[in-house]
Amino acid sequence: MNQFLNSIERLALKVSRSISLLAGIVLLWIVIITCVDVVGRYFFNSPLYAGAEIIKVSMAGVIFCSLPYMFFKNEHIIVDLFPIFKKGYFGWVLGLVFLAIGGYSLWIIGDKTFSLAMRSLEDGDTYEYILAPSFLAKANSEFLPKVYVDTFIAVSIYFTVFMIALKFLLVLLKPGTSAEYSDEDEEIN
Amino acid sequence: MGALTISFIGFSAILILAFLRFPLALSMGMVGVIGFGELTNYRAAISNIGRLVMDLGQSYSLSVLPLFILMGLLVEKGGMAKQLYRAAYAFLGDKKGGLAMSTVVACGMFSAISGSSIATAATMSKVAMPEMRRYKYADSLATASIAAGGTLGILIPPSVILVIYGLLTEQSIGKLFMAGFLPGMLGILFYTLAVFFVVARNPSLGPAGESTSWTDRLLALKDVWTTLALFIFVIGGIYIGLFSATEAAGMGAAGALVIALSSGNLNFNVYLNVLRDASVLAAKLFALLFGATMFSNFLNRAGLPDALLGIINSFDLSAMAVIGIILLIYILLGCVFESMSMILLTVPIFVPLVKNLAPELGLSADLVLIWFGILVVVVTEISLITPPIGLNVFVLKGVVKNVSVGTIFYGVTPFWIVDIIRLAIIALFPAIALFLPSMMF
Repeated sequence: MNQFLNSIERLALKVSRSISLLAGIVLLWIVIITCVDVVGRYFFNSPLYAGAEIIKVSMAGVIFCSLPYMFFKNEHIIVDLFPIFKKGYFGWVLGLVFLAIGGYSLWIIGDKTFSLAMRSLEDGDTYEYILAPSFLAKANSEFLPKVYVDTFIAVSIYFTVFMIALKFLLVLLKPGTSAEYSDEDEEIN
Repeated sequence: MGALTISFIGFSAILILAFLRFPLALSMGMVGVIGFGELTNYRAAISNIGRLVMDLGQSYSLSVLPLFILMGLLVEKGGMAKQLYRAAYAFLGDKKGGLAMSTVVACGMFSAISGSSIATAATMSKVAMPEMRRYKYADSLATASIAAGGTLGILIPPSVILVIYGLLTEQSIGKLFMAGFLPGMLGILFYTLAVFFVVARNPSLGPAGESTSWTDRLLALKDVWTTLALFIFVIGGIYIGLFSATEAAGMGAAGALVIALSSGNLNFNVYLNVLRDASVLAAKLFALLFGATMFSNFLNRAGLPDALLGIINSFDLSAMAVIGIILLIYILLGCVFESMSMILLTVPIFVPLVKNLAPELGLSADLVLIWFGILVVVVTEISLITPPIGLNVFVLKGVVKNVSVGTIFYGVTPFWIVDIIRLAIIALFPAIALFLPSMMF
């Protein structure tokens, strides 16, 4: 049983880690966009079209692709004054409570962001500069990048909730274990 | 129920949750939503959440965070700390306490690229500690100079905490960076003086190292010119208005990447990990900002800023006395709170109050918040070396073998004292922090 749980955990870590690597690649993309924008502005007198807006949209990729890994690995900023609350059965119960509350809170946030994304679709919201590439726009319908980005945010949050639920089950089935990873656990990756 | 009582209940709830090791972002967010929901209605509170996630998650100004974090991580992995230390040693190493002084200066230079105190302390301890042990430095002085020098990471620009403060208070991040520069230099000077006094009292604590010829000194400088050039390019670019803080961060990250790649210390896997770490850290800070904003909305709705202002007026205190009390509260909070938590919990409470003091202090509302930001960061630096949980001290304890926490705290005492003096000077003479921002193009 334990072996099975460990392999599930390893798989979940691998998946969330790969998604967080995507976040890293988007970050590299932001670096490139910034450089192209600044160099273009000063040396060729032609800044990148919609540069700031592209960065703004890309930030969603950096943050929301990192969330599943962050929550699964429990990488949060914590006031580490009483490490005793991390250990033993008490730490196990607290870990479960946190995962349950965290998952429920994120579910509410996911719901709210999804309804905002749908509202964007109904209202035909667009960004100021980033518009439809013509090859993607179908006849009589507008391609709305904002709707896709808003939906991506909602879906990422739902996926994070799924990862939290999985983590909850894994911790629940291993009584006495902590929901937090220590540095030595890093090799599980 | 009065504003103070409601806010007190909210604040206590966060403290209890935080001490139970609940993530701070979740604690602040939950208390913020429940508090706001109780004061208005839950529909409005939850509606706020969705909009805030969408806005913060697609924020241009927030991109400055992962970019500066990336720049710092690349410098750290590129092994530049060693070269910086060698350069500082070449000039100061042959003096009594010279290695500790070199450590402080190298920490200052490293801080000019990295925005994190913990990263500065952890990286410098690996470089400086073996050298100081080789020259038989007392552990107390050696570890303390790294722990204290490391604190400069959050003050000398770029600084992650100043970015967070700027985002929370809607102040110019470029101006905040400029404001942190002179107090940071003052920090290097004061820490060097602290080393000087320690070895003047007991020379055996920090013997002189070997002297370096001028040819070697120039050679050592040659190794660090790229790092220094990167700092001048990034911060100078902001100062003369060549680019915004966000653009500077992007250009800085690109520059750090070139330097790290040319150092040969960065392989593809390390590079991918650095990119991922910077993104995950940005997500953590995003969550914290989200929680802090929800908490701040609740406090504002409860009317805490007005209630605090009423209390201050009833005591008829001068603006400086109020600032003094706030700083005292920070020093006390610093004994139990980690730096980022302390700032996120308190800035929403104190900032509206400090803004109201601007006319009495003879400053504009924006300048007073920039000056206050620097004061907050200096107090936070102090908290990093204050017992019982001074975080930098524990970073050192984790990295350096065979040294007790007590030894490090003992060694840190002179640095802590000069820090308090520096805080008083910056509080009494706001011009030290505000000179550069007011001269910006």
